[in-house]
Amino acid sequence: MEYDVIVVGLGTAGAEAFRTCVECGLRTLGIERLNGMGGVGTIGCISFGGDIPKLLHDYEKSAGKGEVAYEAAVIGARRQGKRIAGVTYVTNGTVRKASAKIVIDSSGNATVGALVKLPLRRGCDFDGTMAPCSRAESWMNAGGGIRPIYRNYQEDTSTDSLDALAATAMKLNCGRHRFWCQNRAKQRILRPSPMVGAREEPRYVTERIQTLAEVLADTPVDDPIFYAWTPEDLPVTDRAVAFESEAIQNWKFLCDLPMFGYPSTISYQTIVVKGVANLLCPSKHFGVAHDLGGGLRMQGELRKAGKVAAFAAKLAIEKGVAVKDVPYKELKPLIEKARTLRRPLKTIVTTYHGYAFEPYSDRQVVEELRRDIARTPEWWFAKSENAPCERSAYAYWTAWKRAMDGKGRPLADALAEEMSAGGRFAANYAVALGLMKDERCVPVLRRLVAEPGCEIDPVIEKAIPNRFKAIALLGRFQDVKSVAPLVEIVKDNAGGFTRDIAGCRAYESADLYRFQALSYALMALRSILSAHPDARVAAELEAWRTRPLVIKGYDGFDLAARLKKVCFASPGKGQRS
Amino acid sequence: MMNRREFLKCGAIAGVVAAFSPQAFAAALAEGKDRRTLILGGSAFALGYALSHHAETVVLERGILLAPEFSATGDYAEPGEARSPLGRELLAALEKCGLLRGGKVELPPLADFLSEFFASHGGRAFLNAELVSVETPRRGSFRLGIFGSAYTGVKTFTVDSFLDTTPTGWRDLGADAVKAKIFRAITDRGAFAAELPADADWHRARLALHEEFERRGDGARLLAEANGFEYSYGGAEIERKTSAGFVWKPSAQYSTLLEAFEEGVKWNTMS
Repeated sequence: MEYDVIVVGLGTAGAEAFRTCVECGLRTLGIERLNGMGGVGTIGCISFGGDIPKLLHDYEKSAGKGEVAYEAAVIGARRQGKRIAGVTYVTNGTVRKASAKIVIDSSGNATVGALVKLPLRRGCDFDGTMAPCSRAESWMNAGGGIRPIYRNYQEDTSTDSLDALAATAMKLNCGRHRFWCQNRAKQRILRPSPMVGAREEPRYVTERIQTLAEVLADTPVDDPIFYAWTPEDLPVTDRAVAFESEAIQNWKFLCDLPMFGYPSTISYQTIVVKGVANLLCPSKHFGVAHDLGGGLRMQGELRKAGKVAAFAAKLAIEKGVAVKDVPYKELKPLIEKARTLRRPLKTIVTTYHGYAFEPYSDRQVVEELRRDIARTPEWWFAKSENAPCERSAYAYWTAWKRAMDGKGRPLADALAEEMSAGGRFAANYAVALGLMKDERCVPVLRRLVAEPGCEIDPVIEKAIPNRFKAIALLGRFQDVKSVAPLVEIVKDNAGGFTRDIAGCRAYESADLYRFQALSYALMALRSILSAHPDARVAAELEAWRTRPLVIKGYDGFDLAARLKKVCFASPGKGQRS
Repeated sequence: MMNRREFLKCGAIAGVVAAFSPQAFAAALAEGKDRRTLILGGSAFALGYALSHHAETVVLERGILLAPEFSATGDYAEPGEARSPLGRELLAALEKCGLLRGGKVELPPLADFLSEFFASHGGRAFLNAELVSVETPRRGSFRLGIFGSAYTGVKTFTVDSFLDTTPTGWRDLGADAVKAKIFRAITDRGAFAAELPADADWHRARLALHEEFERRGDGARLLAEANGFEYSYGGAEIERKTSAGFVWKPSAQYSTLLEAFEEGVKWNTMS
C-alpha cells in the first residue's frame, strides 16, 4: 500500500503527527505497538492534568479518517538511496508492507533508523550509558486523588535500556508488586503500564543536535519549532554525574542543584534526520544531546514536535523537496497557527522550587557564597526553609552565566579578592571562580585536595564536599601538579580522603562518598593525562584497576565494577553507534 | 550466544520473566534437555502448564502483562477454584499478599504478582516480542521467527512443541470463535463497560467506550481504561489443531483465572 505519510509510533508525538497529517488531507498510515494512541505516558488516561480522556478521544476520531494499525510492530524498513521507501510491519503474525513519500518516526527509540542501520547516538557522550527502563502507570490515593507514577530504575547505572534481560520484568513488575504490597492500604493501582518503556533510548543523528550548554548560553536558533520551559530531568543519580557533560556537572554537582528549570528554543533541524531525504523524528529520540533530553521529553514538547513534523511533511510533499529543505518561512505560519510557537510563561532559569533571583548583583553573589552551603534531604519538599541553599546555587549559576556571556571579569575579581582572604568560605569562592574558568582558583583547589579538612575545608553536614568539587575542577584545568595527590587518593581507594566526611549525609553511605571521590579523581586524571601523558602514572592506575575493590550501591550493584569499566574505557562511546 | 552460567547469573536462578532478548531466549530454550516447548501468550493457561513443565517450557508474550486475559481487563473478578497443589498455592499467595478483596481478585496489580509468583516457581517467560513466522520443517518440529526490537531484528528458533493460547489465535486463526468482547474502564464512581461485537477492533472499541461513558452522563471522572478485552466464545471448549500442526487453545475461554490456570496444569496433550 502507498501512503503520503507513515507515522511509526502513535505516542505523545506520533498521535499529534498522525492527527495533524490527517487534518492536512494527507493519506496517512499510523503504526502503533500498543492498542491505542497517546503513548505509554498517556494511554489509558494516565495524566498529570488536562482533559486526557477528551484528548485521547480526539486522537481516536482522527484514526477513523486515516488508517491505523494497532498492536503492530515495525519489523523492517526499506531504503532506496537517500530515502526510506517504506516499512514492513506485523500484526498478530500477519506481515504487511507499506510505502510512503514521508516517514515520521515517533517510536522514541529510532526504530526506523535502527532497521536501516543509520548511525545513532546512545546516551551519555562519555560511555553511552542510557537511563534504564521505566514505566508509566496510574494510581489513586485514599483520598481519591489520581496520580501517574513513573517508575524508573536509574540506580542501575551498570546497564542500559537496550539490555533487554537487564530490563527484566522481574525487576520492573516484581518491583512494582512489592511497591503495591507496601502501599496498598493507602493507594490503589488503577492501570499498570502496558509496555516496558525507557527514559532514554538511542537517538537519531539529526541536522542539528542541541546541547544543554548551548541552551544555557542562549545560542541563537533561526528556525524555532517550539519554546520550552522544562525542569531538568536527566535520569542520572549522584553516582554518575562525574561521567556527564560539563553543563550537567556544573548544575547538579558544582552548583548543587539536582533539578532546575530552564528555557530552551528548539530548532526544526532537530527533527530532521541527517542524510535521509524523507525521514522526520519528532519524539524523545530527536536531535537533543543526552544532557538536554532529560527535560525535553515531556508531553507538551513532544506534542508540538509531532505537529511540526506533520506540517513539514505536508510542505515537503507539496514542494517535492527533502525535509531538510522545507522552507522555514512557509513552515512558520503553519506552526504559529497551531500554537506550537507560543512562549512559555517562564523564560529564565530557576531553581527546583521555582526561585528566580536574577538579576543578582556581584555583591549579592559574593554575599550568598559567604555561608556553609548544604542541602537537607527535606529540601525536596520544603520550599521555604532551605532557600539559603538555593540562593547559593543561584549565586554559582550567576557566576557561571556571567562568564558564559563574556561579562564575568568584575565578578571574578570580586570573588578572587574574597577568596584570597582565606577562611571558612574561601573554597566557595574558588568553586565559583572554577565555574567561570578563572585559574586564580587553582592554588585553593590544590589545597582542598592536598589538605582535606583544613580551615578552608570544614566538614559540613549534608553538603557536597568542596574537596570533591576541587577534584573535578582541577581536571578541567588539566592541572599537572594535581596528578600526584590524585593518584594517591585513587591508590588509597579514597579511604583517607573521605574518612572525616563519610558520615555527613550528603550521600547515603561511606561507600558512596568513596565512589564520588574516586569517580571524579579518575575522570580528572584522564583529562590531565590526555594533555600531559605520563606512562608511569598510567601504569600505577592500571595496577590499581586490577586490585580488588568493593563499593556497594543501591540494590547491591557493584559500583566498583562500573568505576573500573567506565574510567578506563575509550571515551566517546555515546557519540555514535 | 549466552551460555548457561551467564544466563543463571542474570537472575534466572529460580526462573525469569524478562523482556525478550535473543540470547537469553535461546539459552532458556536450551534448558529443555529432552523437549523444548514454546507457549504463545503469557496467559493463565500458559502459566499453569509452564509451571507444571517448567524445565522444558518457555512462554512468549507480546505485551508485558502476564495473564492479560484477566489481569488487563478491569478492576475485580472472581478468582475461581483451586484444585491442584499449584493452584492452591497460587490462591494462598493471592490471599497472603492482599489481592483478594471480598472474595474477588483485584486485577490491576495481578500481572505483577504473577510475574513474581511465576519466576519464583521456576517459570520462564519472555515479553515484548512478536511471533512473525511459524514453519514446520518436519513433524514434531517448529521453526519460529521472533521479533524483539529493531535492535535485535527477527531471529529464528526451533522448538519441539508449540501451543497458542492467545485470545484470537496467531494470525487470527481463531477469530471466528469469538462471539463478543467487553472493554471496561474505571471511574471514580465504579467501573463500566462497552459491549462490543466479535469483530470490533481497538479503534471501534475506544470510540464505543467513550460513547458509553458519555451516555451514562453521571458526572463521573474517567480514571483508567483497561489494557485488554474480555472475550466470549460460546459454550463448547475450544481446542483446535491448526493446519500448521500446532494447537490453539485460548486461555480467555475460561471464566476465571484459576480455571484457566488449572486447565493448564492438567493439560497433557502437547503436540
